[in-house]
Amino acid sequence: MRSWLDKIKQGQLWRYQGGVHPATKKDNIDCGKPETLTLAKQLVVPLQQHIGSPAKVCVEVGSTVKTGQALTESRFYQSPPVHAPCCGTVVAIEARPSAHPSGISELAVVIEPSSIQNEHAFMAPLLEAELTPELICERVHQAGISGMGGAGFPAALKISPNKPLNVLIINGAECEPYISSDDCLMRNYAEPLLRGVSLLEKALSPKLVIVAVEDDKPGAIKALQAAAGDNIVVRAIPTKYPSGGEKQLVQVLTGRELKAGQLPIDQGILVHNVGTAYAVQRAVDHGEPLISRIVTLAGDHVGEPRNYWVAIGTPVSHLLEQQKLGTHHQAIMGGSMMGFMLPNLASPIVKTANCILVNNTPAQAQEQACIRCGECAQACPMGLLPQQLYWYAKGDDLEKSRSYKLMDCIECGACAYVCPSAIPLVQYYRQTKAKVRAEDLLAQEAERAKQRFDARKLRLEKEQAERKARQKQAAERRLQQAQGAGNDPVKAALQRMQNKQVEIKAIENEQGELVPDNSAAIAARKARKAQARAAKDAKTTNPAVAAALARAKAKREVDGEQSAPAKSANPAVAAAIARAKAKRNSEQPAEAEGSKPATSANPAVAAAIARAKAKKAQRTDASQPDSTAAKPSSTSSNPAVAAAIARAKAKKQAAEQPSANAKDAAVAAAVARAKAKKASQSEQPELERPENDASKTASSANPAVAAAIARAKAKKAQAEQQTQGENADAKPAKSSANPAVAAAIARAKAKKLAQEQQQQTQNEHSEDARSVSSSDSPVEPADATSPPKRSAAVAKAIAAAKAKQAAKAASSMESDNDE
Amino acid sequence: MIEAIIALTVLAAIFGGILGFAAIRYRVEGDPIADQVEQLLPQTQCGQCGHPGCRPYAEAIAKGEAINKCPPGGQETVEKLADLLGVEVPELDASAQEKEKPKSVAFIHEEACIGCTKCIQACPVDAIVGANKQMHTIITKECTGCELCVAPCPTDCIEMRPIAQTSRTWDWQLNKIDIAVIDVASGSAKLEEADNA
Ligand code: SF4
Ligand code: SF4
Ligand code: SF4
Ligand code: SF4
Repeated sequence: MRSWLDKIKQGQLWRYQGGVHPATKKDNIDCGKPETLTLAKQLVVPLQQHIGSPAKVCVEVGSTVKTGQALTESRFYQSPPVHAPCCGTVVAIEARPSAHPSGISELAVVIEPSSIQNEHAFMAPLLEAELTPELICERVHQAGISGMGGAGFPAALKISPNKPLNVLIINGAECEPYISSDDCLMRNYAEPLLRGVSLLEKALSPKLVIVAVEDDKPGAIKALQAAAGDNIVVRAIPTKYPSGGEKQLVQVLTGRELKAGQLPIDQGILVHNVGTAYAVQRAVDHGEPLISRIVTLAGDHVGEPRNYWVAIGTPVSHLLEQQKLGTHHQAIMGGSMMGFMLPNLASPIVKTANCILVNNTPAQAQEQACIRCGECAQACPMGLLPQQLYWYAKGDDLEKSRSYKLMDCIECGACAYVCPSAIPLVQYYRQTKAKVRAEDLLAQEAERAKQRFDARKLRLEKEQAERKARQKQAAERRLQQAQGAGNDPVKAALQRMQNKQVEIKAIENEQGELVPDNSAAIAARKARKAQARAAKDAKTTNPAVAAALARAKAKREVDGEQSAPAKSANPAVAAAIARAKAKRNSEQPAEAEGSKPATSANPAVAAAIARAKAKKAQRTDASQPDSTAAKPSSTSSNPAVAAAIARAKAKKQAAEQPSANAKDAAVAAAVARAKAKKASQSEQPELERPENDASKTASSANPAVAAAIARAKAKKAQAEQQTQGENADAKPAKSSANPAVAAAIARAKAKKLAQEQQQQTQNEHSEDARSVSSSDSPVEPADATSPPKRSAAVAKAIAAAKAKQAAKAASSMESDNDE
Repeated sequence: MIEAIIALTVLAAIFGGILGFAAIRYRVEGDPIADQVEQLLPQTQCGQCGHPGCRPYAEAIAKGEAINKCPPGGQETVEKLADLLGVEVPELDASAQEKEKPKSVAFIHEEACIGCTKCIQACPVDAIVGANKQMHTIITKECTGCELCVAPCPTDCIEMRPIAQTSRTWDWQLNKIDIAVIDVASGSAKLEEADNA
């Protein structure tokens, strides 16, 4: 270890493989004291200018802010806050075009500067004596400092000490063409910069601190060396692109190679940008947060390329105005190798924006096929195989891309720079990387969803077990009570009975007549009988029939409710009338149906009959003109129309009662929505019914899932039915392009078939119905999904079975007839 | 000759013993194929494949059910499954195809919610918070977009909204962007279709 650090100290440099030497184009850029740019009409401060998550906004639209006032706040180091770059008023907090190659709008605080800029809300400077690493860390976070070179990693996160640090590297390499903002900073602010470095040193206590500068910046090196004390080594490194890359710089200075996915800190090394060091000094010694930065304005179209102090949030177009540029130009943010075309010049300068380039749009060289020359592999500083990556990127082979370490690519563009076929390699890599990231994200989400799903299942099981336990406990308690009291309860009951009889007798005695006594006894007996009958009915009557009845009732009720309010001014009265009517209506079919179903041996047939009857009853209801009330809407057979009418009515009602308080309106709206939904659901009664029943079969505890499954199945059944229907029927249902329409047609056809079949069976001989039903029953088990508890009520309702039955029975009937 | 036979017999007995032991000692619990298949399914838990969740479908696939029934997974999942199981890549099931749509999450129009808790009971991943007669809302981050909560809502106040693209999930399709050139002098922006590719 010793010798390694010594070697570094003695000035030994290492080499990394690859890299290129593009023209630096920095000679004509003025690196004198940077001019401070005037404030733009509006400053747009994006909430997120770093990697991590945005902090919480703590200002409101309309509030006045002072220079350096925090606009967002967060306790977490991964969410550094942003600050107001000037005095002014917050005019909006909204999505604005971001400083990103996509230009997608992201949340930003928009500030209009006031005419007088004399107030600031800086933090109190920290005193030298009280400086501790934690304090510096906290201050760096509060000042919103995030990496100013490349990705914008929150600086506080990087300097919160958790691992022993050997070497702290301050990166002033600035290897990309055109960019000279760091050069400018080092030349003009060497002393505060080095003060910032020593503050970082204090926070991190490394064994060695190196400030690395490429040797094409002699001015910066001289200034730094003059200001540097003994503890800070200023090292000139050979100019080569991309020496400013973190991994490359670490390798050049320390000879340590970082493995894939490894951070420098894992090797006891940390890299910070010179801009970060300067910002730390401002934050600690002046309490000033990161609200401005040096930006290079350069490029072919720029008359006097130079550096400016630019307030964070200044629109790029405002910067271009300084050199009378604008209208038709396209600007690149960043250097010519790694920068990106800004899709929108209203995008703001952010903490990571070091350069704005206004170049001639280069005549795009025609992209040609890869000739496998291997130039790119020579140039790649990461030791990757760009031509292979390109190959897999084109073929969308994410698996292979991963295994060829695509995610290690730093998108430096060295490979594209040397490519003789002018292939925009990096563009391909970025797209593929985005796909890989999306895939990873999906996998993560899937994992989480699975965990939550499993957790929910566990919870439900637990709840059920608890419920069972409670029930058992209650039963036991009852039993215990009974036992504990011995024969008492029985005796007590007997006693009660006797008392009652005495009472009754007493009444009788009082009245002195026999008649009332008899009538009471008869009434009691009758009631008992009725009860017994009801109980028996409930037992024998098929639950499906009951369900069908209930549904039919519900439907009619909806119809009634829809129609009635039309004429009555008072909706409540109308509803009551409608309900009464619905009840009356429902009584008739109930009687008719109640008599028969128990006789049918096969519950499936019974259910079918019940359903058909319910429908018929409904139809007669609808067609019989009601003498007491005009029913305009119930005659419309289309439930969707009915639903629309209901909705319209609800709206009208809502409009009529604007003065009614908001809560009532909300409730009314909710009710109306519920009604509308119910009405629209009855649009597919045939389809819904099997679903509802099928949902009972599914072993899953979740009825919604069951419903979804049933829906999927019903659809499949429909498809089958459709094809069968086509075979049986001369007219194909396929002619309609709309699947919903097709489904409706199929449904109608199936219904017709079923009706025909029923008629035939009834006409010929009633025995036939039994035979059909028995021929049906073998179909059912095949479609029943959950073998464990397959009740009869359930199996018959499965959509597939039904559709098949109808078609099959019809065709067999036909063949029977033919014979 | 005899020695050779004896030697081979002994060897066979030894290896047979080892194999038999290994078969019992290192027995794999559960169904490894179903596990692997489940890894590839999207875990939306929506039931559109005809099974109450992804795990049951994975088990059904392991037993030989068609691999093309999962609409949220789409054709990509079908391909991955085919790859895993070493079968021909089938087309996504026709009915599944029409259900394929951009990834969405549920959104509750809170002013219309009556707090019936029906949606909570339907959500397979507990991504809805709320209580009886209180307003409900979706934890967007946890929603898998299964749409199971939409149908049970009596007031129809749940809507599926496509997930918006952010700069972090952007797919770098540069030639899809409209480049805006701001006319600074007049302050107006005009959109130009620019092909950066
Ligand atoms: S862009 Fe990626 S592949 Fe190309 S040279 Fe740079 S690191 Fe290598
Ligand atoms: S369709 Fe796909 S996502 Fe939905 S439950 Fe089935 S396997 Fe899971
Ligand atoms: S919130 Fe709705 S769509 Fe989202 S996961 Fe839950 S049930 Fe599915
Ligand atoms: S189902 Fe609809 S009304 Fe009921 S709680 Fe959920 S969102 Fe609210």
